[in-house]
Amino acid sequence: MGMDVELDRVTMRFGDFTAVRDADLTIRSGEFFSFLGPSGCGKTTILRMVSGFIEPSEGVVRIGGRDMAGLGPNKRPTALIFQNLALFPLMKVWENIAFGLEVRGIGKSERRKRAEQLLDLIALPDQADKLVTELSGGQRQRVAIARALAVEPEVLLLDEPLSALDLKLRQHMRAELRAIQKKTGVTFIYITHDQGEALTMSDRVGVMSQGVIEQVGAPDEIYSAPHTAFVATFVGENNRFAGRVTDVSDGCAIIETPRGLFRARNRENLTSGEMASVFVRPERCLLLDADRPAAKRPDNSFVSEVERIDLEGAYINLFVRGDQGRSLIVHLTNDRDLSKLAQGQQVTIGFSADAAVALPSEGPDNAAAA
Amino acid sequence: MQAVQDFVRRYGGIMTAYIFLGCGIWMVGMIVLPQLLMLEKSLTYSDPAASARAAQIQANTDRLFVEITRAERAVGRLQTRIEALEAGEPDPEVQRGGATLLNPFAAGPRQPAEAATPETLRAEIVDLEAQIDGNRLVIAENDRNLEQARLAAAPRYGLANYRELVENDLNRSIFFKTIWASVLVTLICLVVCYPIAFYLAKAAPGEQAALLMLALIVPYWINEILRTFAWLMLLSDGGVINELLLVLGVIGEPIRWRQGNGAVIIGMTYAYILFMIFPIYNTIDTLDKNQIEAARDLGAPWWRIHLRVVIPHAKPGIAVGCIMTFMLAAGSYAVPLILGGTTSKWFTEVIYDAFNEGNDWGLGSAYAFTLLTTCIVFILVMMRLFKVSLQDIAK
Repeated sequence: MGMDVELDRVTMRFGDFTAVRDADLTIRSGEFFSFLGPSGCGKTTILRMVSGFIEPSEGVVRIGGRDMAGLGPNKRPTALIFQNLALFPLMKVWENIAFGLEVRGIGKSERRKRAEQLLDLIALPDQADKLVTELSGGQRQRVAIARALAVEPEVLLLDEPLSALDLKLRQHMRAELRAIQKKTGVTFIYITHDQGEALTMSDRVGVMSQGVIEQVGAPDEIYSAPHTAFVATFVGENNRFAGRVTDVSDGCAIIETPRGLFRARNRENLTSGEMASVFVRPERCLLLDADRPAAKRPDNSFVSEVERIDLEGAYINLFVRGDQGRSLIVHLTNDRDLSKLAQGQQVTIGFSADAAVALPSEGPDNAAAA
Repeated sequence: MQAVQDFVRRYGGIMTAYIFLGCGIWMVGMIVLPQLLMLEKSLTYSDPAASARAAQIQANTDRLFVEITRAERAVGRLQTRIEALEAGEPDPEVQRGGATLLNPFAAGPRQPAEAATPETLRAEIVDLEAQIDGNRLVIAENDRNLEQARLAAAPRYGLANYRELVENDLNRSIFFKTIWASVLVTLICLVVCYPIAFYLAKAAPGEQAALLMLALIVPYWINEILRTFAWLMLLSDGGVINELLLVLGVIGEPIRWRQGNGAVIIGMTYAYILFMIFPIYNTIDTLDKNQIEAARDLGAPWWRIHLRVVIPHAKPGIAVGCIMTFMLAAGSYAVPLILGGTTSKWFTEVIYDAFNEGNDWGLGSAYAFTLLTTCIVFILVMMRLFKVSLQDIAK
C-alpha cells in the first residue's frame, strides 16, 4: 500500500521567481491525485520537490510521515515517470525494467524474473529482449511504468507521461494507468495540463495557477463547484458574466451584469458591492421560447444574437454574443429542428440560479478561456 | 551510378563535381598514393658495401680523367714549342718564364731552354701519350667494374629494412616504448577529460560552461612549440615546479622529470587534452538529462549512473577521443624533441633521423610504415574489444 505525501506550507523560489507559493495539502495513501494547471503553473516543481530533485525553499515535504529534507531522489520511496519517459535506449526492455533492482544489488536471474512479472502486469509479455527503440509509443509508455514499479515505490510520480501519445492511445492508457494504480495500491501523483486526464483518472485533483494551488477536490466538485474564477474557466468550458454584487440572500448572490441581473450560488461569501463574476456551464444553459410565460422561466435569462451554430453530432454548440466581444456558448442536445435557428437571430437564453456560481473577480482578467 | 544521379539531382552538377573531385584528390593524393610510395620505399634496399665500392671506382675514374686532361694540355704546349723552334724562333717557354727582378717568384722554365730541341720535346710527347693511353685503359677497366658494382648496389625489393628494426635492439625498444607510452598518455587524457567533458555538458550552468570552454580553448591559440617550451620551463631541473617544491620543502632535491618519460608524458597529455574533451563532450551533450535523473530516481549512486548510462552513451565519443589522442601521441615529434631527455627518445625521432641524418629513405619508410600499421591494428583491436563500430564513430 502506498504512503501519504504531505506538503507542509511548501514554497519554492528560483531567484526572484516564486514557482510554488505556500502549497499545503496532504495526498492520501493509495490515492490517485492529479495536479492540473497550465504550463508554468508550478506543478512540475511540486513533482520535483516530492521526488527529491530539488529542495523546497520553505516548508517540509513528508512522505509516510517522514521528513524528506536532505534525501536525494535515490533515497526516497518515490519513482518518477518522465514526460519523455527517459528509458535507457542502450538497454534491453527487461534491463530497463530491472535497472532499479540492479542498483539494489539483486542477482541477474531474480531481476529477470521480476522484470518478466512486470511485463505480464503491463501486458507486454515476450518483449523482454527487445530494444526499447523497437517498441511503439504505447509500449514504451508501459515499460516506463513497469520500470518505475519495479523498485516498489510507495509513491509513483507521473509527469505528463501521456502527452506524446495520440488521442486514441491516450484514452486507452488512461484506463490502463487507473487499473494499474488500483491493482498496486501505490499512491499516484499525476501532473497534467489536460483536464480530461485529470478528471477521468483522479480521485482528487489540485488545480494550480501561477504557483498557487487554487482548489483541491474530487473531479466533480472541481467541475461543478469551482472556488475561483481561474478554476471555473480552466476546467471545462464556462460562460462568464462580469459584474458587481448588488444583494446577497439565503446562499445566493444577485450580480448586476451588462446582460442584466443574475442570481447565482454564493459559496465564496461574496458581500454586497464586491466585483464578481457569474459562471454558468454551456450545458446548463437553456434556449427559451420567446413566448414562454415569465413564471415558467428559470431564474436568469437574457436575450442575445446568434453568432454561429456548430454541429458537433450529438449536440450543437450555439455561440451567442457575450460581453467584451467574447462569445457565450450554449450546448443544445441535437433533438430539435436546426432550421429554426439562424445566424443573427435574437434568442433568449436562460439558466437557473443553482446552475450558476458567483465567484470573486480576480485582479487582471487572466481567465484562460479554454 | 544511381547514387551519383541522386547526388547530382540533389546538389547540382557543379557541386557534385566539386565534391567528387575533392574527395578524389583527398583519397588518392593525400592517402593512397603517399602510403603506396612509402610502402614501396620501405620494401626497397641496396647493398651498402657494393654502393661504397661503386663510389670508390667512380672517384678513381674521375681522378684519371683529370690526369688525362692535364697530360693533353702539356702535349699541346710541347707541340707549340716544337713549331716555334723549327721556325727558328726562340723557345716561348723561356721567353715567358724565368725569374726577373720585377717578378722574383715567377716559375722558371721546367727544363733549361738550351736543352730543348724538337727531338727532346717529341720524346716527351711520346711519354705523355703513353701515360694517357695507360689511363684510358684503366678507365675502361673501371667502367666495367663500375657497372658490376652498380648492379650489385642497385635497389631491390626485400624485407631488409624491416629486418633492421627487428634486429636493432635500441630502436625496437624505443618503438615499443612509444606504443605503451602513447597508451598511457591516452589513458591519462581520458581520466582527466571525462569529468571535464561531463561537467561541461551536463553539470555546468550555461555561463560557467562557456567560460570554462574558453579557458580550455585559449591556450591552444599559442602554438604547440611554445606551449611545450612552457612545460620545459615548468619541468626542467631548475624549473618553476622544482623551485617551488624545494622552497616549500616538499622535496630535498629537484625531481628529474626529463630523465625518464615523465616530462614527455605530461607534456603530451596536455597537448592533446582538447582532442579528448571535445568528442566526449559532444556525445554526452546529446544525452537526455532525464536519463541521468531517471537512473538517480531509481536509486543509482553517481558511479553507477556513469557506468550504466553516461559512459555507454558516450562510448563512441570516448573511442574517437582515444583514437585521436593515441594517434597524435604515437606520431608526436615536437613534444618528445623538446621535453625528452637523452633517455626518452620517441620513435618519431628515430624515423626522422633515418630520413634526414642517415639519408636512408627505405629504412625511414619501413620505420614509419611499421608505426602506422601498428597504430591502426591497435586501434582496430581496441574497437573490437570495446564493441565500437566504425558507424558509431562516424556519428
